[in-house]
Amino acid sequence: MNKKVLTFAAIVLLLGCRSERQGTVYLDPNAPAAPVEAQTQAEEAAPAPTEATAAQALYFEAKGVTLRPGMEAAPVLTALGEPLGAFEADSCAYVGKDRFFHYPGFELTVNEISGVERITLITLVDDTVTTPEGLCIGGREQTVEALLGGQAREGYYTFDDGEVTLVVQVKEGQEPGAFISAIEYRLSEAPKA
Amino acid sequence: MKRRWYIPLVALLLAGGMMWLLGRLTRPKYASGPVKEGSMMANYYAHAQEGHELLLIGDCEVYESVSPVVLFSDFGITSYIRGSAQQLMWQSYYLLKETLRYETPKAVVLSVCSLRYDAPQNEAYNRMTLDGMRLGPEKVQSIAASLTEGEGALSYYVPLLRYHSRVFELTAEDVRYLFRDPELTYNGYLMRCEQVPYTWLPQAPVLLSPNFGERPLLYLNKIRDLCQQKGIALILVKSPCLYPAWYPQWDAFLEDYAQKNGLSYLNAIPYMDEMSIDLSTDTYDGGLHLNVYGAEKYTRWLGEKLMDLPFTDNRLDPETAAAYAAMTAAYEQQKQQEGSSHE
Repeated sequence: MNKKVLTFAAIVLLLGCRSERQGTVYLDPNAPAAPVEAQTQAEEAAPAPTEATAAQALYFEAKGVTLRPGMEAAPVLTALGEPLGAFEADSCAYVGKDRFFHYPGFELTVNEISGVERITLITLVDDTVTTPEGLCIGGREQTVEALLGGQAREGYYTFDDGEVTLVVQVKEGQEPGAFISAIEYRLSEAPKA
Repeated sequence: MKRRWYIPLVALLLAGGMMWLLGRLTRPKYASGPVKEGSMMANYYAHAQEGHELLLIGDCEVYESVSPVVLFSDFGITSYIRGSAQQLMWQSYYLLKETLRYETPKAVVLSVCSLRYDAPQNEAYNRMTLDGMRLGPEKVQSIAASLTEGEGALSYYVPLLRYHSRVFELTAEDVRYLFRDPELTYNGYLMRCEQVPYTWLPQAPVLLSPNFGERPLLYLNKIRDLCQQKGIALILVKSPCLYPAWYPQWDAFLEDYAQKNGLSYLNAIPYMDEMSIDLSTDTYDGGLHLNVYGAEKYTRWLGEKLMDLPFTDNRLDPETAAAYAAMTAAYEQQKQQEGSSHE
C-alpha cells in the first residue's frame, strides 16, 4: 500500500511541476529589465490624432554617427566615444536598469530589449546641436511648421516614421510666440491590436 | 480483496504536503545579497497585533524614505510600513484592505509615485509584493490584478511550480529560513547606509499625456473610500527623490484631487532645502533613493506635518517605549556598523 501511495504522490508532484511555465526564476538582480513597453505612462502615450507622418526616416546625427531609437547601443556608444557623463539608474530592488549617456548637446537612454541593449530615447538638451531638419532648442515654433509641417496640440508636435517618433515641445516665452523647449526621439508606440 | 478507497486521498495529501514543503524550501529568501525587498511583506504579520497609529503604504518612496524609529523617537508615533519594490496602486489597495483586518490606524500615508504605472510591470516585483502575503481574499484579488503577460496565477499559490529549478541552487539560507522569514527591516523600513553623491540626472522625457491612467486612479479612489469608511485620515506623499521625474502636471492633479476629497497631499521635492537634504551625502545611489541620513531628515519633516493629526505620544507608554528602545538600539547599531564600513 505504501508503495502505491508514494508512487501516486510522486506522479501528482511531477505533473504539478510541469504545469506552470518553465524557465529561469527571475531572481538575478541584473536579469533583463522590463521591456521598453513597460516604461512609464509618460514615456509611452503618444496620442495619434496629432501625429504627423514623417516623409522620411527620422534620425539624429552627431559626430558623423546616425542615431535612431531601436539601434543596438554598443556600436553607437563606441563610435561616439567617451561621454561627458554616464549614469546607471537601478530601479527599485535592482530589477532592471536605465542607462544614460550625456554627450555635448544630447543624451542617450539605453535599455535592454529582448536581451539586447538598445537606444530607447535621444534627448537634445541645448542649442549646440540641431536635428537634420534644422530644429534646435530655443528655436521658434514657426520653424517647426515650416520645416516639418503638422500642428501642435497641448504644447507639442509629434512626427512618426513608423519606428521612431520625433517629439518637439513648444512653450510660450517672454518674447511673443512660442519657442522650442524640448526635442526628443523615442521609439514609436507599438501598433495596437 | 477489500478496496482501499483512501489510498488516492492519502497520496494527494502527501503530495500536497511535499509540494508545500518544497515550495517553502525553494522560494527565494532574500536574506542576503543586494535584493532584500522580497522578505519584507511577510514580516508584517508578526507585528500586526502591536497596533500602529500610522500605516505607510507604497513603494521605495516609503520603505526606504521614512523611518518608524524616528517617527517614534521624535514624535511618539507608532508606525509600520507595508511597502515593497514598485508597489502598484492596486497592490497598495489590497495590502491596505488586508492590513485593516488586523488593525485600524489613525492615519494612512500613501506613496503616490506608482500612480504613473497603468499596468503590471514585472513579474519579479509582483513576486516580492505578493509571495509574502498571507493567503486570503486580498491576496487572491491582488494576484488577479497584478499578473503580467504570460504569468499564471497558480504558481503564486503553489510556489514550487515557479521555483522548482532552484532545487539545484539551494544554500544554507534556504534551510535556515524554511519556516520563518528573515527580518531585515525596522517596522518595514529598509535601511541603506551607502553614500553615493548626486552628480547628474538625465533630462525628464516630455510628458505627452498629462493624466494618470484610469486604473491607478480607480484604486486611488478605492483607497480613499476605504479610509473614509474606517474614519482614517489619508495623506498622499511624494518623497524627495528626483528620479524618475515627477511632473508639475501630476502635482497639480494631486493638489486638486486632495482638495476636492478633503485629503492632504505633501510633495516633498520643493522642500528639500527646508529639510536640509544634501544630495552629496543623503542618497545611496546618486539621487534616486534616500539613504538613512536622508530618510531621517525627510521623516522629521513629514512628522512635523503629521502633528495636526490626533496621535498619542506613545513614548509615555512604558511597554511601547521598551519595544521601540530595543528596535532603536538595533537600528543605531546597524547604522553605525554599515555607515562606517561605507566611509
